Amino acid sequence: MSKLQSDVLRESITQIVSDSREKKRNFTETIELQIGLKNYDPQKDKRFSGSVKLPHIPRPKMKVCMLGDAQHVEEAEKIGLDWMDVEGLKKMNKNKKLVKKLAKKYHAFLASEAIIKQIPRLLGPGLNKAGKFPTLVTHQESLESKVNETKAMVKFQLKKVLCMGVAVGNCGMEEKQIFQNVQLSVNFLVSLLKKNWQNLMKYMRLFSFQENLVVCIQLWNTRPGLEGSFKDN
Amino acid sequence: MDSCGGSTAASSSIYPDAGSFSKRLAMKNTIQTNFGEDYVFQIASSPDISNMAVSLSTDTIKLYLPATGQFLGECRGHRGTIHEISLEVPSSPNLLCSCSSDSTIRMWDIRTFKQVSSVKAGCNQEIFSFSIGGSSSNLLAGGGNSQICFWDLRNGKQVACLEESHMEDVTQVRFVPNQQNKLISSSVDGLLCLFDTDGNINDDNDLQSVMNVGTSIGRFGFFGDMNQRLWCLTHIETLSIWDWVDGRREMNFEDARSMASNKWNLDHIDYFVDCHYSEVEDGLWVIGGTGAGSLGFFPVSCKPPFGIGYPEAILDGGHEGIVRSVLPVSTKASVTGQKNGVFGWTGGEDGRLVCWLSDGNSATNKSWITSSLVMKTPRARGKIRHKPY
Repeated sequence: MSKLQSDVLRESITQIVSDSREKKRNFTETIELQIGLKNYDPQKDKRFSGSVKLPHIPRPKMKVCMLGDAQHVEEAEKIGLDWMDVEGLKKMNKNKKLVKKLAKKYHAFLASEAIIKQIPRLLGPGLNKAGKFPTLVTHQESLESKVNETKAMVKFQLKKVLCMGVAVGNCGMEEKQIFQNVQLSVNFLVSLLKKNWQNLMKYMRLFSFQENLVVCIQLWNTRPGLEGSFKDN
Repeated sequence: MDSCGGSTAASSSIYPDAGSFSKRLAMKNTIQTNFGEDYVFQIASSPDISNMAVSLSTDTIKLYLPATGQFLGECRGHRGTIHEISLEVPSSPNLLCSCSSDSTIRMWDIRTFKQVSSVKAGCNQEIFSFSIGGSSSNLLAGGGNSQICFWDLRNGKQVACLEESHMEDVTQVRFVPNQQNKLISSSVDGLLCLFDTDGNINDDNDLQSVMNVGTSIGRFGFFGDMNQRLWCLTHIETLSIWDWVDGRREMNFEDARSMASNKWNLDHIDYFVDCHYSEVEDGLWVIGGTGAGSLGFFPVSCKPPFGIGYPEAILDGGHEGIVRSVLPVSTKASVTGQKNGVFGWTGGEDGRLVCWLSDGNSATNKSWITSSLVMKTPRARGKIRHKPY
């Protein structure tokens, strides 16, 4: 059950997507969901952070690299995924600059079971520091779906301020997909809060980075007189 | 029911109506630790359970007698949130150790309630967790904002600092019991790292293995034969089981809250407080709680078929808010095996400490227990909850 106002959310998504299509850009704009919390004390309440898997990939252009054994390298080749084998990793020889360069080149890494264990020995802590330590792929699961799963993961973390953002989509996506991503994220985040919906501010915002366009959505009708959504430049 | 041993514990999940096996515990007494809005963060006890320390959100630590609940005194001095306390300082039974967001780890004498020593990490370095160990048991490790620092306990000097292995707050550090030169750390970045702490400690050579949990890690603990397995609870309330020697994940319960909720008639499980391991029975329990303060000890089957079973102990009616800490009075005791006497203490965001009896029938405080909840029709609320996975 969601308290999210579906109509208002749909309207807001339409607005943000059509506005971005009017001003054509060379890149796809990411849409971020911003949520404000109340009745929450970062000093003493439980930490609010983690990753959530969305139903639709918000950043399709994310570059993933497979650190694979022979079988995975072959599979990666087939689906056109960048890869590196153990020989390639050995050549890095824990060289910090090379590892840093590798980490910069990709958004995420996957690794076979035999490789993932050797990573600290072969590369040192470089991928840890970059926040890109690989995710394990076994031979039992399909590599392609694992790549998509990795791309569909988004992180959220509340720090000292009571506002945080989650990437929920991009302007190139279908509106329905953005809608489903927003709905799932909001419901999931709410399920982690102790007072659930009472911990959320009445407004949340959809935010498209490059446009600097902010659309506010009222979560639910508490005061009937208020506008459902408004634009703010 | 009282003879509920390891075998019953493991097999209880095959009974369709195993809910009747679960034991509702009675309360012995409750203590209001403060009269404001302050929380109880953690309850810790000395290995022989002669003393009990309680950290509060007022940045103070209060000491009590676990047997009677008598208040002994309090330790004041921290100037930031206290994240972890311990009364298990090796070979120093009268020391209490605590760490805080004020960047210090302090030692207190529990007879005088005075601070006896402290170490300080760098500026603005909050310390979320600490552990004492190392091959000569003189090493103090502290987990901070993406750093793990090491001090020599004998002189209080910092000997090393690992800055490369984590990129977010380090939520917990633990020396491996019975392999004291090894340290495992967990972090908000989703990684569990294993280090060798012999000799000069540095990121490049001593990071031995990394386990990728994939989401912000709240806490972990050792269990099983030779402590070679880990349980791991995350901030999105998932539970996973790892073999840290192999660096391999054995099981991941992504939907642990719903799995546990389906095993009892009370409200939906909103969070997990902790896990509890009994060496005697080689059993692991995950302790789930509701927003209204009910708790259940759910057995976790760590061999195939993996699963979460019917709660073997229910602690209901003691709290009115989120429970933050559970202290079973004997760490080696089983959940249901003990007859008579104190089962343990719980503390939470309602500022209360509650002492529970292990025998549900000898209730002294029956008025506290709401029988209406017991009779509630099953799954009345569970269905309407959103299940994100």
